[in-house]
Amino acid sequence: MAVKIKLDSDLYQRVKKVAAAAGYATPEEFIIHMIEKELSTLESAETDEEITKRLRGLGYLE
Amino acid sequence: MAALTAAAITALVLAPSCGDEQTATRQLIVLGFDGMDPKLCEQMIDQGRLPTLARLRDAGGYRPLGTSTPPQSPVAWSTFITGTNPGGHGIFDFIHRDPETYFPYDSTSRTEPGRWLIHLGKYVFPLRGGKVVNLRRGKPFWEYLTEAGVCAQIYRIPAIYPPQKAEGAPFCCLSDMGTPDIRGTNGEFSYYTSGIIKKKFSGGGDPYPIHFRNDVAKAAFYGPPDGMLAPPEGRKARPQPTETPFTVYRDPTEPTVRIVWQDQEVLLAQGEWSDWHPVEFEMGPRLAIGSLDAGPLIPGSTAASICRFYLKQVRPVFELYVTPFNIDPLNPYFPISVPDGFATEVAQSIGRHYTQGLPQDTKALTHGVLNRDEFLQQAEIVRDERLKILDYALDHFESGVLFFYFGGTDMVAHMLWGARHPDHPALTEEDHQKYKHVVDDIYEEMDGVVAKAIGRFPEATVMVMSDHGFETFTRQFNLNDWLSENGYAAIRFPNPPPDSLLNIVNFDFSRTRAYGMGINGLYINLKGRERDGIVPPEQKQMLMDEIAEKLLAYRDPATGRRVIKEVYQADKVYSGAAVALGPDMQIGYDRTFRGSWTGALGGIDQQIMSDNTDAWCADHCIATDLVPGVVFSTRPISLAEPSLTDLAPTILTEFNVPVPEQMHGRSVY
Repeated sequence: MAVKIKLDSDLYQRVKKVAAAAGYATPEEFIIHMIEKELSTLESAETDEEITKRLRGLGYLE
Repeated sequence: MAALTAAAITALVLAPSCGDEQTATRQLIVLGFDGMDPKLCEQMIDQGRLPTLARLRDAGGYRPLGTSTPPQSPVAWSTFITGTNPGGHGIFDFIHRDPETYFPYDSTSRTEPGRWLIHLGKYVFPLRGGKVVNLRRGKPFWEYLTEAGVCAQIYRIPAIYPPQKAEGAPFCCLSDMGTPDIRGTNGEFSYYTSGIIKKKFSGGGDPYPIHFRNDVAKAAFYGPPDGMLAPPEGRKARPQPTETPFTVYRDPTEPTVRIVWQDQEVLLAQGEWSDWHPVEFEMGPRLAIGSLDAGPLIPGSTAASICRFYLKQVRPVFELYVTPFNIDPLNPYFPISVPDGFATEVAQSIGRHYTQGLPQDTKALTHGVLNRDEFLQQAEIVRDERLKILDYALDHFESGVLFFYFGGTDMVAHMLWGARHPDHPALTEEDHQKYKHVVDDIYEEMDGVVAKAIGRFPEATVMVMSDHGFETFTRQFNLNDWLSENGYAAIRFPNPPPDSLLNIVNFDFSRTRAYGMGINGLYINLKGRERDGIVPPEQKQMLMDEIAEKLLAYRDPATGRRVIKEVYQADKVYSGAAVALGPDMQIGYDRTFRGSWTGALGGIDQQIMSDNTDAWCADHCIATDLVPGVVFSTRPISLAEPSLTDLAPTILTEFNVPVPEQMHGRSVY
């Protein structure tokens, strides 16, 4: 099931311009790619929580 | 664990003949005092407070000892162990980064998970075992010794976890810095409180709620994650912690409690520390085929650990501190010694003791769970245990090399060296008066340790060494804020919440040319090396020179003082096959400055400079020439400016073992 997300028209114009310059077929393709890229980083950060906590367990780090 | 009987180990340790006839009876004792500082030693010697070290100095057996770049303990101890600079041993900082992910990791060891997983119901069975891998390169000096027939006994040496066997002559070893607790961490205490828990701690321990009904409370100890337990449906793969329930019975009128778990119980009065007690964590069932390649992290049926309790307060708010669950030396769940049974042999002789690396609980003090007096009580427990192990070591030493490590000179100094100086932002005048003598007192105790070793072995060569010195730490510099402000780094989340994961590796690498990671490290975001590298290799040198020049010109806006004394470029200070693994540049801070807490994991503070108000009030991760260590010896030292790289060649030369060409130094005698 697809959902719609509203974007500010100024932002959409910027997206449209950058997406075309970067060679994306559509602004939507560019947006999906960006969101997926960001999500994968944040999701992997979640699994890195324990590693970070362990490193912060060293007195030298907070 | 391998079944070596106590008698067999004793026979091994007490082997009557080590090496050829010429070296069979030679004795070299090396006492390693982490962080022992030459300035303070010289001052206390002049005051007549270190009589043993004074005798050594007066007989020509003393020099400041050049340290590693950077002067961080795992870097420096790896240099001592291998006789090479970091370009040879590959340890450049506590923290390294993976150029593929940019994510930081522990530089000294890596835990590799089990492979080939089978899912059966709620369990996941690895068919090949996980293991812990030591990432240090280079051959330790003791391997050259034992191969040449010289015995080596190495007690609690840092940066070798997991300890490795050595071929040839009898060898035994206990590991220290890097040795995990039963959870596999650097040591995580547990803090049970009936008070309000505002937030979790950032690392080093966890707070847990506990509530009484009719003076009885039930809670659980949390042990190692059980890799066999599959995560709940829809959750990301994260091992579930094992639990051992316990009950606290509070006296209705007196400030005392009884804590009961498994077949154990302990009675405690408020303000009292318990002895060590065993706590077992039940792990998931083992698949029979798993034993084909069972590494040390394959869970068995029970993970044996030990802990001590400190009853901080009974009423109105209940507060109970529990030490990290240490690996039980009487039944080690992970390998902590060579031979496997050696740790048990020692524990059977002197009793249970801390087995984790760096056991002084600095994090409990940082998080306010222990106050300074309580921290010092805990550090004294560590010291007393270490002195018992020293007695064991001296009792069992006959010939060859005996190395023995004390970490209290470093860990306590991190928390209380600042009290030696008035006006530290983390300490009050009252703190200054109350604690200014603490580090000096430890130095006096260590002088007694040296006297004991010399007294027991008057014919031996006794060497005292430290990996670096010390300096107070009052102001912190965030390299990543500086790089951002100067246009070298682009920050992804400019306003990250405190302690947020968003502030770990907080860069937009598509627009970042340089980034800070580790306590002293600076990396160029190099095209072809880093995943999203943007700096072409031919521009790297120019960029490094430009950044170095600006960093050296930077001044603390609060005082106008220079913050950075040296900027070391890797290819100029390192040599060896591992140079490419480390940072491109190392920042050598001036006295009283250090890299910021958040910057070390690639984060920002939203300001370049700030006061260090942390209980961790002193440090040594600064310019190399500002914090040399010490070397004392019962024999005169002829080398004018010895350095850590000279000690491994010194030890080999003492036993007529050829110094390998990859070692950079020469004998100090």
